[in-house]
Amino acid sequence: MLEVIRLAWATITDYRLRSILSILGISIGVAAVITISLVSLAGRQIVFKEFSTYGLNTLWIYRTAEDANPLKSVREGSGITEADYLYLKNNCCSHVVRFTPVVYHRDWIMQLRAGNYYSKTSVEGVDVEHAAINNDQIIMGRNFRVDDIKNKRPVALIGTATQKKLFGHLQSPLGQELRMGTLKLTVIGVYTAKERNLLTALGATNGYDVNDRLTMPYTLYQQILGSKDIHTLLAESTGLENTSIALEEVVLTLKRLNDNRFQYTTESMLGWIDTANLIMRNLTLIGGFAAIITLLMGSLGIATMMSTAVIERTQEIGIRKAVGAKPGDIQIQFLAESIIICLIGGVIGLMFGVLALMIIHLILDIQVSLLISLFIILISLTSSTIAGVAAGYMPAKRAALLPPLEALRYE
Amino acid sequence: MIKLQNISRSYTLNQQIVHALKNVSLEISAGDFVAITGKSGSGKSSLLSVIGCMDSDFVGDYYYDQQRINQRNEDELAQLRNQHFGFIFQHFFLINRLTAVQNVELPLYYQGVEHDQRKLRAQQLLRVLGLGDRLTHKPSQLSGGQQQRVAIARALVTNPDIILADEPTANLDHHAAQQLFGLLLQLNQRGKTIIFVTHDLALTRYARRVIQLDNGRIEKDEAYA
Repeated sequence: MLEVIRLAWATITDYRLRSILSILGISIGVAAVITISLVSLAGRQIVFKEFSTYGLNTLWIYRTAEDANPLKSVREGSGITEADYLYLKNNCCSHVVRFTPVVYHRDWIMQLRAGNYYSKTSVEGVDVEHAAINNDQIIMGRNFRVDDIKNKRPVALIGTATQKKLFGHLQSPLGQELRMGTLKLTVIGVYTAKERNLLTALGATNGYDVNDRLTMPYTLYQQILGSKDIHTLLAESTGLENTSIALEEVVLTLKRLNDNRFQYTTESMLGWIDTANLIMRNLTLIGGFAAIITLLMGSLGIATMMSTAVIERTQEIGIRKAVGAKPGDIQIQFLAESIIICLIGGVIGLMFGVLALMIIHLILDIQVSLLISLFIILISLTSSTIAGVAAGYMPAKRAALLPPLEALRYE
Repeated sequence: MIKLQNISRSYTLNQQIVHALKNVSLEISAGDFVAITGKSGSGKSSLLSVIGCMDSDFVGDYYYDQQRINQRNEDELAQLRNQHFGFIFQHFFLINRLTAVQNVELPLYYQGVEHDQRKLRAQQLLRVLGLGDRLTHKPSQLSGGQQQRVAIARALVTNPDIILADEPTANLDHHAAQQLFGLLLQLNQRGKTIIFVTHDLALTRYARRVIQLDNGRIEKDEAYA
């Protein structure tokens, strides 16, 4: 085997320019395949990373909007009461881990003030479990406690953007007071910043800055709004695969509790993930197709080169056969040349791929795992070997089948 | 050693069938020194190609060491060529991008001999043939005579039983031609069977047997003491 490689390598270096051009063709093809795979993988990672800022197992349940008669919901309420929530929390459901109510004002965005600093911030009333469901980390201070909720304490957690706007001039916002209308709230914690750049770019966040927010005990907000309504119920399912059954359980219970008076709309990450996967898959398919065409062009280049080599080296083939080369020896020699060229092309393509990986890592701050690196190596070496075999097979076979005498006399 | 029975070989050239060999029968014993001669187109080279297993597309029976080889496949024929025959061609047929040593090594490569051993044997043989200072030269850097000696070294490196030479002196000057035949005589004295093709009747004096072909048939087959 070593001898075959040595012989093939000697031939490759003898026909240097042609070999370099072929290597370049393959490396571009392999680099294209790697980059497309990488973009697809990184894209998925970005999407999942951003989705996880909502909590991957999160379910949203709210009363179906009746656009034809918007006042109806004002008259009849949100379809989910505090009693419903407490019932669900204590008695439902086998596929739900935890619940939190979300209470908000119709306008959602409220004006906040701290001294001379103002902020238009989204405000929600939530329960203790909200942070866990919403995959929120608290960078500073603490989460709500049960007694904060129970006693309707005027305390708040804020996002980093809100902190910057209202308390940017202070080292810590903890213990600071802010106002929402006449209500005074004390800051007890700051949420860790979340990234939803992609979703924001896609317009999926309605211009809403995930880091510009304030939460307070839902009991307090209900008191301010003068209603026991819960506008959206957030739940965490026992797993992504249990999403549908969990939603069904919650909706059925809500309908039963409300004597079937309301319809409920549900949302889950599963649907979003499916959509994102579909988009990514189509993008990958289109890109992958283009990459394979590029690789195919590179392979065709090698096939052409090898065919020319067979013609040019017909007499050499005849000489080798005259001194004892078997058809298989000749075939292996040409095939080895083709595979070595493609493997070198694959390794160079791999370098391009690693470069792309580093760029993605730097620009998008995506943690590219070892698995992806191995995946890339596997892709580049497999695709280049396949290209090598495919490109070299026919010319090599033709060379192998040349009758020795005919080959020797070839001019 | 070699027995041909009713060998015929024809091929198509410009849509015309050419009968290169017509019912040729002969026997060659081990240690013979045979000249095959005849006019251009008489079938000399075709006969040599059949004997050397370079051409298996013939009609008739060919026995080598009493083994019928007609139906042998390409792999078996390649092995036969490699182990039993050494070829010397009119145009040398050296691979131009390889050095003298690498050219001589080739038959050993296909025997599976280790690289170092191959190289050593090729170098030794080239030194014996007076090319010790030309080991790493490529064919284009050698004279015709030197190239032919490299080709002879390649033919001898596997220590074959039979040396086949097709117009071996056609591209050599008188002195180089004499040297070559001197070498072939020495090899014959050491027991090698030599079969060479020539159109030059003067060279047949070196042979102990002369086979003359005409129009694909053996016209004369004479042995000399």
